[in-house]
Amino acid sequence: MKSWLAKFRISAALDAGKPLPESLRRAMAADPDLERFARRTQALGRALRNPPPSHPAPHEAIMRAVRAKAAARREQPRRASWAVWLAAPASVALLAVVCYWKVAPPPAPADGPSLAGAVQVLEMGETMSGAMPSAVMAPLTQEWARVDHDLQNTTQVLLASFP
Amino acid sequence: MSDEDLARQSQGGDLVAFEELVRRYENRIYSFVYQSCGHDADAREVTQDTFARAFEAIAQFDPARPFASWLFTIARRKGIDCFRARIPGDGQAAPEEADPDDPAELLARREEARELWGRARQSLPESQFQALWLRYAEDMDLAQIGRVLGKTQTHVKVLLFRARHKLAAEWETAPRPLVLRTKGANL
Repeated sequence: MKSWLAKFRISAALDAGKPLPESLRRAMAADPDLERFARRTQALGRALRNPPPSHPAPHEAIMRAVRAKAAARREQPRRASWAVWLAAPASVALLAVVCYWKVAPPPAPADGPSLAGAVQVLEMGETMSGAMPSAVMAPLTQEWARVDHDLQNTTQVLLASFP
Repeated sequence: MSDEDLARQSQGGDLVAFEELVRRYENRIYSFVYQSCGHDADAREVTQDTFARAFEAIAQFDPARPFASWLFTIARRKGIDCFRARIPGDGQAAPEEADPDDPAELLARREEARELWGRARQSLPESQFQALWLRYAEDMDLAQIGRVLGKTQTHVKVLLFRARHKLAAEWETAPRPLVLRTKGANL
């Protein structure tokens, strides 16, 4: 354990580029194993300082990627300004709707289910074909007949659904 | 001009300054990634992603700090998947061209270093290998290595100690032991 600690201190001192402390020098002088360790560590360090050569880096590919990022960066503020221009009126419109909703009095509740509106629409369908000029209605006779039929069916369904 | 000055110019949108940084660091980043993961195609992709990310995040770089450790931190993060999937010993160094002017001693040392790094790649865990690479191939100090690896300086000291210890032990038991030139060691 003591030897391991001394070796670690030697290793750390060499990594820090500092001269070995006097206590370590004395320990090394007394212990050939420590002396060998220090020399081997330094020798390893010297050998490792010559890294193996490798293939050249892909400069063009790197710069293409960088230029793409630069273009995207230039594009980004433009897109952001569009987003702001779209978002601002949308927010104002939303705010106006919310304000109206809060301020405007709620519609008076009806006393009960009223069929007046629905009946009016249904009657309009029936009278429309009679009110229109025959020149306009002639080519649409069949279609109007189908619409009338649909309206009648709808009327029956609505009337049947009420108690 | 220093790396940090170039980075400051790049922060102002100067693409030429950033390209100079790419020139200075592309081979170093590529080597770091390639040696760590051992796949040429993956290393190229990670290198490319590293610089693209660096350009994207250049505004966050603090010019008061070294640019190298900031860039290597990005490379390490970008390459995490690649590093974890590495096949030990799969990395093949590019063929070295013999230089007739090189003295024999230098060639022998290069060969020795190549074998050492190959063995390191095979036997060391990712963090120990990267600490060793940053220390010796990149000549970073403990603080810089700590920043890149996201560890304390004490942790880095332990990583380096263990890496060298294991490497030396591996080498001594290897079929062809390394003759480390210990002569002239200045302690």
